[in-house]
Formats: sequence, C-alpha cells, structure tokens
Amino acid sequence: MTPRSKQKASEDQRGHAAISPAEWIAVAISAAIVIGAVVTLLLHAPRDRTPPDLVVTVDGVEPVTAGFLVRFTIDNKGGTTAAHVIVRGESRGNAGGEDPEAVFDYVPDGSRRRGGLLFTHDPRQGQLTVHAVGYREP
Amino acid sequence: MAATPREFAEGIGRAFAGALLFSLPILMTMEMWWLGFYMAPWRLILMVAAFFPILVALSHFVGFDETAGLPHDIVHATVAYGVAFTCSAAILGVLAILRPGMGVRELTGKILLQSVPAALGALLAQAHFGSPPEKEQRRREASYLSHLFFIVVGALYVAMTVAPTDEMVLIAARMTDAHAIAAAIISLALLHVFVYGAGFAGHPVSEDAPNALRPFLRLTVVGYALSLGVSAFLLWIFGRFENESIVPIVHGTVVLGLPAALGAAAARLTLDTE
Repeated sequence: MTPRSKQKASEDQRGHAAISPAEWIAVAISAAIVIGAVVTLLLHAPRDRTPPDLVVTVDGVEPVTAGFLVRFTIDNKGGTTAAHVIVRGESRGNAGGEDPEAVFDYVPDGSRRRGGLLFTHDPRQGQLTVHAVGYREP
Repeated sequence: MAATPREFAEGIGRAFAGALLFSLPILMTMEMWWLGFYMAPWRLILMVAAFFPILVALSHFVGFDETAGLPHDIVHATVAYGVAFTCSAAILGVLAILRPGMGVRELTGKILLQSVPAALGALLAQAHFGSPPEKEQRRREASYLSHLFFIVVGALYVAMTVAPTDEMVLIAARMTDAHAIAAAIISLALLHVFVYGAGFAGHPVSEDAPNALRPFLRLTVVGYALSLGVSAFLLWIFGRFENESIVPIVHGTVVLGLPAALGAAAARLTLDTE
C-alpha cells in the first residue's frame, strides 16, 4: 500500500466520525427541504398536460381620470402554461363600441394573474364581457 | 476531527456567500423564472438529481469546508442544496418574483430550479474565499479523470449563466454554418491557449509531450467535446431542443459551447494548483 492510498483509507474510516452533530442537523433539514420540494412538485404537477383553461373574472369597475377601469383576474385551470395571453373586454350596446386589450407574458397552470382594461365610457351601461381571446405555447 | 459548531457556522456562511455570488445574476434572469413553471416537472427533478454527483465531487475538491471522505462529501453536497434553496427562496421573495396568487407548483418550481446553480456556487465557495491546504493537495494530486471533471465544472460555471436566456436561440438562428465553424475554431483555440499556453510549464498534465499533437488531443479536443456535452445537456434540459430540427440544435450547442469552452479553459487556472 502506498502512503497515499493508506492516507485515503484512513480518511474514509474517519468519514463518519468527522461529521459533527451540527452537520447532521443541517443535512437533515436540507434533505427535508429538497425532498419536500420534489414531492410538492410531483403532487401539484398536473396529471395530464391538458391545454390551458383560461378563466377571467371581473373584480370591479371604477372611474379613473381617463375614463373607466375594469380590474380582472385571470386563472389558468388547465394543465399547461399559456404564453402571450390576450384578454379583451367588450361592452356591447355601448355607444363607443370599445374593445380594449391587455396582454400577459405568462399565465402558468394553477396560477392567477391580475390586470386592468380601460374604457372611455362607462362599460356598465352596456353588456360587459371580459375574456381571453388567444395565447401561444411557451 | 469533527468541526466545532463555530467552524461549521463559518462553513455555512461561506456556502451562502458562494451561492449568492454565483447565482445572483441567474436569480435576476427572467427566463429562469419562466422555466421554473413551464419546464416539465420530470426535467427539473432530473436536473436536481443529475447535479448531485457533480456536487459531491466538487465538495471533495473545493467545497465550502473541510471534508473527510465520501460520506462527508455527500453530507456537504446535501447541505449545499439546502443552503441554495433557502438562499433562492429569500432572494426571489425580496425581488417580488414570488407573490401571492401564484400556484404551489409555480412557486416550488421557480425556487427549485434556481437551487441548482446556487448549490454549485455554494460548493465553489472555497475557490473564491481560499481553500484549506488539504483540498489544494487533493487538486494537486488530481488524476487525468479529475482534470476532466474540473473542465466540466468550469464549463457549467460559465455556460449556466447564459444557457437559459432567449439569446442562445436567437444567436443560433442568426448564424450560418460558416459562423458556427468559426465559433468552434475560436473555442478550440481558446481552450488550447489557456490549457497549454498560459504558463503551465512544470504542470504534470502539460508536461507530458514534446510533440504538440498529443496534448492537443489529450486535453484540448477532449475538453471541447466535454464543453459541447455540457452545452447540449443544458439546452436540452431547458427544453431548447423541443420541436427543433438538427441545424438549430447543432448551432445552439456550438453557440453555448463558446462560453462553456471559456469556462473549461478558465477552470485550469482557478481549480488547478501548481
């Protein structure tokens, strides 16, 4: 046995003893964090990679300086992320015939994003609809 | 000798510092936030698993504190992931990347993805803040295979910061075949100059041949092949090869191969000790 491999062997034997109690605690916490994260990811991963299912809910309409603000929330209840999501508002029966749009870079599956649309006339006077009109795959 | 709690706390401090130093630019890269949620979970988990052996070996040669053999290296590699996860969660929180209303999967994915480069940084802490003589000796006595490992680490270190960006895909699309060949020649030249030209006289690996072809094949060509391997692996795991034909795949690998080769070459300067 060369001196080097002897030194190596003794290093390996000392391996367990050299780990201090503080290190055992740190490794237990670390392992719990990483395994926890992986399990969480697997549990929340969608069963199937179903297409995005984009649901828009209007949170409120309020007057602002430039006209009227419609605040909304968009939820993706599908199994994949939608990119470049276009949300359009329409107020039918409204004299202006406005259809403002808002664009979201990403709406991940299981997540929600918020946004706003601006009308010059009060959209509540007509029939207000806000919905997603398109997206692309990331 | 087991570390005292004080020494251990200092080691953890170094790990946090190393993780931050390397991963802060990556934590501020928006493609990494997006990959955190649109990357398929199995890819992310595969990435975390694939890096673990690299982290264990890195703990042996560099690490954030002294280690006494394989079990100890495994302990430190695991702690590095814990430190990296905590660090990523804290910084992403401060930067308002994690917010209420985001799904559990989005939050977990974002943090876990960033933990991989941060853990690499944590275990390279002693390359920045000084190594104990024991680790320097391990690096001095490194075998040919270990030198190849240093090349892989160096390639990962530099390529990781740019691999997730959209620019890789954009540059690959702009390049013609002539550009790609030129980039490959520059990468090889960079590697060769760094490995053999930059004053390595007397280094055991660079000493072996008066004849120039053998060392060129032995470290430069093998080093470039490993850099391309690292480049292709990162692009593939980030989903950049999906629905692509072979030409953009090759171009993309060569493009990311340039920073990877630079990192591989630089690893000879930072990790190898005379």
